[in-house]
Amino acid sequence: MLYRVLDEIEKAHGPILVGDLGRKLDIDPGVLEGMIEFWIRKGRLCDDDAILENGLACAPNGCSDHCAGSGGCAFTVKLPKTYSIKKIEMN
Amino acid sequence: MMNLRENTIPVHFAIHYGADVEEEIARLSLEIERHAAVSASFPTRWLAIKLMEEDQEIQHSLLSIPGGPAVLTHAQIALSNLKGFYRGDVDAFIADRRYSWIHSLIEQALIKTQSDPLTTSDKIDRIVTHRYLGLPIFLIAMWIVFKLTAEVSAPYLDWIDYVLSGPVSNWITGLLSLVGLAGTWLESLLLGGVVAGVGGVLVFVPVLMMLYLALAVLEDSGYMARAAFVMDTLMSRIGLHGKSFLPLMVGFGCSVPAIYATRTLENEKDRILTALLVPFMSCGARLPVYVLFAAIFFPRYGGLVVFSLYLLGIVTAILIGIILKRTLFQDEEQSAFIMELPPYRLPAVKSVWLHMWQRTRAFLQSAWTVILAVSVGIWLLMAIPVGGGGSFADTELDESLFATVSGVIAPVLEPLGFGNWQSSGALLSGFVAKEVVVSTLAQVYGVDESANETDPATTILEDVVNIVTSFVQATVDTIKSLPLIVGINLFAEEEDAPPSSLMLAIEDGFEEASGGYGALAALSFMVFVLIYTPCMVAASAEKHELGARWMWVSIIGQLLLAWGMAFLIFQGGKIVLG
Repeated sequence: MLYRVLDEIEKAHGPILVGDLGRKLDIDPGVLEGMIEFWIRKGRLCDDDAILENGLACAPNGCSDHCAGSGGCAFTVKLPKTYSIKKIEMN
Repeated sequence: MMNLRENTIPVHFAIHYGADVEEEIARLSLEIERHAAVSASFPTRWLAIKLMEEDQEIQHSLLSIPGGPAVLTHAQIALSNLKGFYRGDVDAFIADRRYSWIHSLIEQALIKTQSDPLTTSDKIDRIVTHRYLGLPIFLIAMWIVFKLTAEVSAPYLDWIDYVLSGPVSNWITGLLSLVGLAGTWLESLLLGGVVAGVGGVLVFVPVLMMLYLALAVLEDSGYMARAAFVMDTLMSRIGLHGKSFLPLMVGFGCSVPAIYATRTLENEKDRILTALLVPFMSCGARLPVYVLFAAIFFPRYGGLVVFSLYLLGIVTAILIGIILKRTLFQDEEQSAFIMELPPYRLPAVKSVWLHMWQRTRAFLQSAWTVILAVSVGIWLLMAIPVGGGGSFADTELDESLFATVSGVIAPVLEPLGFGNWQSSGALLSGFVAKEVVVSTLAQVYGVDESANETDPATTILEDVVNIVTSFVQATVDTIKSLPLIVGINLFAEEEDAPPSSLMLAIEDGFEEASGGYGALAALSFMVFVLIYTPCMVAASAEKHELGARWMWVSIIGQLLLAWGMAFLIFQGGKIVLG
């Protein structure tokens, strides 16, 4: 099951929705969430929000000297959460 | 809906992890049982599995138990025996087996009584994110946003224009007269620099507020995430990185955070390519330029003009992306990611207001800092005479230092239809920030709307009453404007508001510079503003994220492309119009 989740994301060649993947593999959304978290812990998936958290919150050359708190620049549009496949060099 | 099957769940169970792993578990279990202290502390099979999973907590606690280190050594041997299998991840294999077991258990224990488990949100998503319907729905949503932005906010725009050019300018003149400074350079600085410059941009605050309101509603309702998915799917299909559109979408608000948002792209080529495309997405700061020029040259099609420019930005970004991806940024690597959409919800008034206010406040802050500084700087350059017989703050605009400097690049812009120093000056100052383009135009066209001799003198009380009544009228007109979104015009029998002196001056300037093709030159000017460098801070962000070389590639590339596209529009349009 876990590997199928990873394989399906890799096979999709573009964005795939959590809901669609859950339905395709007949996995409950809560269980799928746990599987995604497992692969994040294993370093095979990357939580993109975590990258942006530091990148956008008061970036060194921010869009203005105004900083809208931890949410980052006021002009930032709230984007959907994404998790990307992390390429691993297999020796 | 699900029902529980009866008497189908086994009371005792053991997950089978496959012959290879089970063999190592059995071997490790024997070793654990050889050490009484270890086997007394943990259940044997459970401990063996935990050690195969390399559970650090368990490994740590074993170190303090007699016989524990020996068990750990055997666990390492067992793991190395299995490393060649299961893609190198024994723990992932064990977890996979567990998930499979749970899945089969659920299948045995539950009967699904409803064939369609889709929620309302899922059903809406089937239409909104549909392969073919998704894109037209996104375009309709954008069209509504820009119709609202450009047309519904117009009454408030006229109101602020009236307040700044009427009462506020009169109060400044009156105050300066009281202290004996009327007619001095200070009056020229305050009216020609601050009010014309900063005020020229402040007039467009209602337009921006409307844009921020519409974006906040789309974000809060959950639609923006769907739009990102639709566009990302499109990007993937045409060979671009699937995650490219997420940063590009941020670019609708401001290019700077959008450039930083490219950090989510792991591949360096994709990251550079996407950052180079971000500036083509029309940020909010360019909106005042579009609204002003649409009001002057295309008064009946304001919404359509703004919508078309935003669309042109997206199409340009996609086309340039395809060209660069197939030449400079060739890469076979496919994007692979999973996206979690938030559920649909009714936008909360407080949250929408907060979003709108935070963005408006950030814009106003830039108005009082960057725009004020540039306006004063331009006033200073316009006050310095070059040749001619004028003196400081008392010179013909055509003979000022600003006109001379701007005039140097004006010939380059002549084939684009706006080869006068006023336009080139506005575009030069636009390098600092796009908001400044409008403020510079307001200054260089030298319109003193406050000095309207035909207006009767008013008292402060009368001014205040006029401000309040005109605000009420603007509110009524805004409400009457709402049906314009669906094409119903409640203003049909009323006359359009007369153009302001600034609008007339810009119209004359463009007609003269283009040899009678003012509307075409205006379109060409708007496209130039859309395509060339958004602002200095965005260029600085590119330098920070991509390095100085790519920053220069971006600036020069955008300038060349802006010139080329504006040239095609003006010269092509002239041929078509005859």
